[in-house]
Amino acid sequence: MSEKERVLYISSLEGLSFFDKAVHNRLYFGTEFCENAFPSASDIGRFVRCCKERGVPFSIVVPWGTEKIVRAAKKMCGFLPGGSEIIFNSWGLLGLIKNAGHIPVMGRVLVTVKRDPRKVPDSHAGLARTSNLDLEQFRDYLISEGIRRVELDNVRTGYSARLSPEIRSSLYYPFVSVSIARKCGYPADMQSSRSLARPFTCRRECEGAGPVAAEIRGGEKTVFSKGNAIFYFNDAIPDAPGEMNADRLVFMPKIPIGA
Amino acid sequence: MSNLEECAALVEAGADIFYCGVDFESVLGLKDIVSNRWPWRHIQFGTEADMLSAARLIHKNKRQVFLTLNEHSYLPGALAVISGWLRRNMVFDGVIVSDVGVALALKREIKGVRLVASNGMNIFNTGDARFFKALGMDTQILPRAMNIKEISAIVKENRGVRFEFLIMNHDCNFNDGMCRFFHQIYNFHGCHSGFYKRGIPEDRGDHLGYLWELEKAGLHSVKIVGRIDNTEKKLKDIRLLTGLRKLLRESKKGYERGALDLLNKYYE
Repeated sequence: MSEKERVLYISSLEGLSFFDKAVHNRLYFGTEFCENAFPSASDIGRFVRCCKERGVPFSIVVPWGTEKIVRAAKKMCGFLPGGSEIIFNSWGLLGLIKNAGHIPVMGRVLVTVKRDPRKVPDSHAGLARTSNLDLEQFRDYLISEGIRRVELDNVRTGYSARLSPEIRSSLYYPFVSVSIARKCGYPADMQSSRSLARPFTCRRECEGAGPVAAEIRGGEKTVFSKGNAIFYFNDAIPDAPGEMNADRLVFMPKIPIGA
Repeated sequence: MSNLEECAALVEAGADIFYCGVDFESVLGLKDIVSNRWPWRHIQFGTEADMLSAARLIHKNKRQVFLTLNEHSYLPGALAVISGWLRRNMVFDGVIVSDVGVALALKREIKGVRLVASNGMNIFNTGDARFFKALGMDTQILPRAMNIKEISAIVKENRGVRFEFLIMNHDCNFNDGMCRFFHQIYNFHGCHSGFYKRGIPEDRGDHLGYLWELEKAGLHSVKIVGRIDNTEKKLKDIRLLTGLRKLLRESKKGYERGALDLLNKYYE
């Protein structure tokens, strides 16, 4: 991976303090995991201005979610400069991004590879590396929809797919997302809330809260929970990420939820 | 449904739609390839003959049966074998899938196949539903962690799509379809990690209390998660739901009164 972009991925404007122009040549802003933790339109506007001032290209990461994220994405698509790169994690946003004249990138939530941190026996090694990207019909579909980049977690198992030259990928480290839920671990009223009647109240408790570590039985691997998602840590960049046409390395200084 | 033996009783109890899996190792010789996200072999049809008999029985009673092919990914070679087998044995009214790639592959391989979007497709907004409708999925299963208002908006904005909802669930925090732990290998996952035990309500049966509202929201069908349950439990759940469905003709108050009586009858 000689020709590469080194990306700093942040979820709040405070994260700009991690930016080092000598190291990073692109900035990502947003989150894949929670619509409540998605930055406000004014923060996105400020982020875009910061990038302009520093002469750094940027991408906005938009999470999966309900109508709330559709409304936020619609508003954002209206004020971003034409041709901005938007990483989507909900198929319902693809048309919106394209129609607004922006560049759609398939987010890592939509890549279907298993992300279990524990050791995979040889019998299942092939399956553990398999994702929707292995299917030719799917790769053709991405190209036909104008999706020329996919975002990948740095899974320990690696990927078996070989992308055609038209599709590039970005490799995210060191936090690998394993499981995501709508239900969040923080809100106090989660205990009494019956989700069908009303959603729980998010007070952005994740902001400033650190991840919690736990051991997962069977292989005894440590995983980290923050808000509504579970992650494991893997900062070992594979020797040959070029097999997946990976020309971007995306570094997360913190878990990108309320960070 | 997990075997032929329970099929007739479940039909008799009032189930309209059946979901089943196939053990691809015993039926197709595909080792370690599971048909769905409930990977345990004993709850899949172990022989083609049993599966065909069950489908015949279900269709004879004018009910429907769907194959769950809703793991998030399949080895491309295995998927080609499964598609070929399905082409020869399309006794199902449709196939439930969790991935756009699998959907596209099946559409190409099996002419006219009816595809159902599993809750693993994460249809949380009207745009998601429109996207899957455009891919030809006329039935979509909505994620469990949605509220009535959200469900209602999606149904209203996507006329012509049949929406389904999982109403009796097993306890798991990550049941929206975005869990990537390897259930085939390990039994303990994020849901067993202890992270979420401190405040997440168990949702087994919890959604039952909202059947009246779900019907008013325009939902077409509700689904019991329970292939792994024993037949006795499945029968009890179906009888309860069948009874609740009859009560939907009542006013909300009438429904609630009758529903309580039924719940007490089946689950004291």
